[in-house]
Amino acid sequence: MEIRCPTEADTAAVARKLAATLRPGDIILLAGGLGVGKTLFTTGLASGLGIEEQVLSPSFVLVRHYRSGFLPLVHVDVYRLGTANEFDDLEVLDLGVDGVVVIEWGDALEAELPEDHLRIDFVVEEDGTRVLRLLPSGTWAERDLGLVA
Amino acid sequence: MRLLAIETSTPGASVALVEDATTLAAASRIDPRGHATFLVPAIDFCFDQVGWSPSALDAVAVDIGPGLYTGIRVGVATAQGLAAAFGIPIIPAVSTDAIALEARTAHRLIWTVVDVRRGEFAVARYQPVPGGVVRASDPELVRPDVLRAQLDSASEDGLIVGDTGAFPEGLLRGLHRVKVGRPRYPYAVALAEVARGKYEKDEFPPSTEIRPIYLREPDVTINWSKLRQEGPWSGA
Repeated sequence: MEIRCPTEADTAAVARKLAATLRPGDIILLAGGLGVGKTLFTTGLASGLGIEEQVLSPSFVLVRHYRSGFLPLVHVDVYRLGTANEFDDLEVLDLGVDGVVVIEWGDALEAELPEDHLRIDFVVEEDGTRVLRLLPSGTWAERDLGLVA
Repeated sequence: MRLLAIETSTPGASVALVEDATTLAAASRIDPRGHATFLVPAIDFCFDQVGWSPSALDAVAVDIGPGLYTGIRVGVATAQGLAAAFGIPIIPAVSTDAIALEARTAHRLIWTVVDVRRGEFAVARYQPVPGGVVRASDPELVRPDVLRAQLDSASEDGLIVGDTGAFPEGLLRGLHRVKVGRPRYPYAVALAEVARGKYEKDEFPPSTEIRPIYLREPDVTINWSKLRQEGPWSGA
C-alpha cells in the first residue's frame, strides 16, 4: 500500500492514524535516505500515542525512550551500527515488549529482526512529495491498514 | 565453603548465599528485564541477613547461560567484579544444569528448555542418576516446531522442564511419552549446588577465562554500501 504525503503535516497525520492501531510489542521499520521524514514520522506517531515529550532524533544516542503515552515508545536509529550483535546489545526488543519499537534505517537489519513487523519505505518525488510504502510482514499482513491512508 | 550464587540468565533472577550444603539466604524476582537493578541490592540483602561481608566468600558462582543476553552479562560482570575485588574464583555453571538438577525425577529423561528469544530455545537433555543428573546432550538452539518433532519421536519416557510457558500456545498438546514439569527457571540455590560440585572437584577455569554461552548465530555485518546511496555518507 502506498500513501502520498505532499506536506510534512500529511506525513505526521499518517503516523498519528497508524499510532491508533498499534499494540504492545509492535515493531516498525522506517527506511529511506537522510531527510525523508523518518524522525518526523516518529514525532507524529508519538503524538498519536499521547506522548507529551518532544521527540528528538535518536541518531546520536542510538535509543530514546518515551513513557508518557498510552503505550511506551522506543525510538531507535541503527545508522551508526556495524553489526547485528551491536543491535542486540541495545536490547531494544526486550525493552520494547510492552510498547512500540520504531527503528530508523531498520531495513538494514530486516533479516535479523522478528518476522512480525511493519516496514515503511519513504520515497521522495521531484516536487518533494513523500510516498510512504507500507510493507507488512508476518502477522502484520492480516491487519487492516486501510484506516491509515 | 562459603559461596554466593548469581542467577540472572532468565526472567527468574535470584541470588543465594550458601555454606556447604545449607542455603543461608536467598532472594528472587521474576522480571524479564531489570536484572541490573535487582542484582546488587539482592546481594546486599543476603549479606545483611547472614551477617557476612563479601570477604567471607570462598567463591562466587554465576550462570553463564544459555539464556537472556543482557541478563547473562549482568551476572557475569558482577561476578567478575567480586572475584577481582576479593581475590576469589568464579565457578561458572550452565543454566540448563541448574534447571535439570531441580527437576528431580527418578527415571525419566529430562528435557530442559531456556528461552533465548528470537523464537529459539536452548535445549539440553539429562539422565537422572542417584543423587543428581548427568547431561546427555549439550544445550543447542532449537525452534519450537523442531523440538516438538523431537519430543514426538522420543523413544523413552521424558519430562520437559524450563520455560515451556514461552512456547507458542498448544505446542506441547497431546504429547505421549513426555510430561511437562517444573521448574520454569533456574534458581540460584540449585546453581550453587551445581557449582559446589565443581568447586570441590577443582573443575573451574581461571576467572579471566569465563565466557558466556550465548549460542547466538554468527554476527552479521550490516551492508551499508547498498543503503547509503545519497547524502554526505554516500559510498561509505
